[in-house]
Amino acid sequence: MSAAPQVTLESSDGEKFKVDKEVAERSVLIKNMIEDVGESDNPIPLPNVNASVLKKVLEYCEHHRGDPLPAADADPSNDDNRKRATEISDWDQKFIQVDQEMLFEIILAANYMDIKPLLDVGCKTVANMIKGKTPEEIRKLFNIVNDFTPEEEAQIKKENEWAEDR
Amino acid sequence: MDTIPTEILLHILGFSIPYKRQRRVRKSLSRVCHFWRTAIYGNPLFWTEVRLHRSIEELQGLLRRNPDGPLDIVWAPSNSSKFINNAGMRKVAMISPQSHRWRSLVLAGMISHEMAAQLIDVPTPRLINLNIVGFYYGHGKLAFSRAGAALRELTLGRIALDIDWEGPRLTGLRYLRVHGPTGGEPTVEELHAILSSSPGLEILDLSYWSFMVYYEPHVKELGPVLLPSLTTLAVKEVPPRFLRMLLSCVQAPNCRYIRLPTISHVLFQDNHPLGELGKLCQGPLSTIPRLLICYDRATETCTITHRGTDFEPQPDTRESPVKLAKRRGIYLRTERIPDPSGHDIPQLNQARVRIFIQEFIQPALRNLKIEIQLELRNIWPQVTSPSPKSVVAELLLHVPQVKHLRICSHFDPMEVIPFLSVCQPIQTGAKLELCWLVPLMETLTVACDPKNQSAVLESLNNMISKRGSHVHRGVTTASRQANERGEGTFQPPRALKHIVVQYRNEVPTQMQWDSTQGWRTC
Repeated sequence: MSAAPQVTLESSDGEKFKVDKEVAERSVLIKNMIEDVGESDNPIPLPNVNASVLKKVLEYCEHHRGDPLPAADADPSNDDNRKRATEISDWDQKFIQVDQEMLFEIILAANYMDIKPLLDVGCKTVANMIKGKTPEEIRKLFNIVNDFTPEEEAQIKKENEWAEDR
Repeated sequence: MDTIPTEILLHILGFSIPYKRQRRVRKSLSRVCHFWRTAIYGNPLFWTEVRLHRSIEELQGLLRRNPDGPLDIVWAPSNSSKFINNAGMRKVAMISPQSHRWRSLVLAGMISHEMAAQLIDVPTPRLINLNIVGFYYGHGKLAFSRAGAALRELTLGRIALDIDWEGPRLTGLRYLRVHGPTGGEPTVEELHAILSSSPGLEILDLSYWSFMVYYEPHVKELGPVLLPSLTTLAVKEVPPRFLRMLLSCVQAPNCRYIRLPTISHVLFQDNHPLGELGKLCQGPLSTIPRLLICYDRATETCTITHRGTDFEPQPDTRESPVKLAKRRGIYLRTERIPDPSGHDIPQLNQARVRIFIQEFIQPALRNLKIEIQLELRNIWPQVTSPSPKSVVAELLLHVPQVKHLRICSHFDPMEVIPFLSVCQPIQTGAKLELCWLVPLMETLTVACDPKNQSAVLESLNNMISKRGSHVHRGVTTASRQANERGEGTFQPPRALKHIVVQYRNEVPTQMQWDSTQGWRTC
């Protein structure tokens, strides 16, 4: 029995990862690159993803290697996807239990590598963290600077969002 | 978070801002910082919910921010019997010409003929969620457009809506809730076709359909329908032919919540369509983790129910984790057995309760690995039935999976505890063996009158002294021996760990098992 075809991915810090082509092709970016360049022994560079993040991303791809690929129109504006905002499978929940920095790194990597299911898992996790929190709590949680001036804040408090046009 | 690109922030906000009750969340999130505010105000996806009972300025503002995206139309006044006023009709007139971009339509208030003509009888090519539970006070049937996208969610109350049950709009449903379809119900074959074409169905809730007819024309055998995503199955006052189709065709391995119709005596008749209830026990019922059996000696009724929460099938993005757990966690509800003779006389009921236990509870539940709480109640303490002991014994004998036993207020604990203190002869296969009743009991809760408390405690101590050592060293019961022989179907015995004695809301006396000190009061 012949071995599954493999490809080599190179992270931004130069680390190389040899993985099954089927696993790597969970990323639409890599799939397109392989299709464009053809099969080659040269490593595929991923200049926006460092080794620790790429390792996590590949762990996800390996676990979901046989899953059906998402439909092209499955975006959060879709009714059903929004309803399932809080629903993340058990394995994915465990997988995404990382510190906040890594969480956003994974989201950025998933966006760059075009791995929609992973992007959704990351974004849903952040959405769940936001759920039920006040603006102040959200700022504190994500270390976001409140860049509203006191005057703006006062204005926002009494605003009628319908009258304002911006 | 400050450095993420706008497209990712929008993706996150897309999951955060629900399409229902959008305004509150949107308002809160747009106050985080300028970046978030600009993203929210600049994206029509967060401006889709048109609530007809809000101001006309709100509607105008929303349509300005969302000039051509999808719209979710909601008529749900706080008082469901409220009629729409002239201002409301002006808003209806504004959105009706834009029906081509409606995504969902929810009508939960009073619906006039004029309103229906502009909201229901219009082309809705992109509508995927139709929810009409409001009362229609016009005349005749309402027409729903047959052309358009397949619905994901259909909820209908008692409204005469002419809907094409065979049409392509009823394929690929996620939620199907139809209560009292006065505009005509689907045939069994049509319902079967809808289910077959909706493998992602999560909720099936059918109630108050045409009145029960026991003798119905033969319905041809229909094939199996696998619904792996179905979590909720509720059927109440649905003609038996539908129930029979559901019970015999639907395979729902992940169903966690079931509401069944009244369990009536006819269920026990072999030739009755509902005599197939046993199939449910091998199918959906076997996935239910826990259930509660209540016996009330005052009315001599026995019920199987879910624990402490009412039916909440409506998924909602604002659903709290507690609510979600309640919806998903526990989950069987059936209703009390009606008296076949029509007379609600406890003495007569008692015989039926015994039949219920012997013919339904025992055969249906004994082989299920299911956690059961048994509650013994007496809702009318002034009523006494002549011989409740036999029913109690029946329950304790035939429901071996009881993990939590509660003896509620006004049910004399002295009628029960003695049963727990002695071994009972139990038929196991061909043999009659002595076994402890309720071998898996972990918790015993006793409500008792302070006057009787000392007697109850003495009786409990007596029970512990007789049974305790057996319980804690492992019960040498027929079920354990059967397990050891590889023939058993029962779970291994558990230890009785907790006894609570309480009268109403007073501080309870608790006894807890400690492996070093034995039983101690805490």
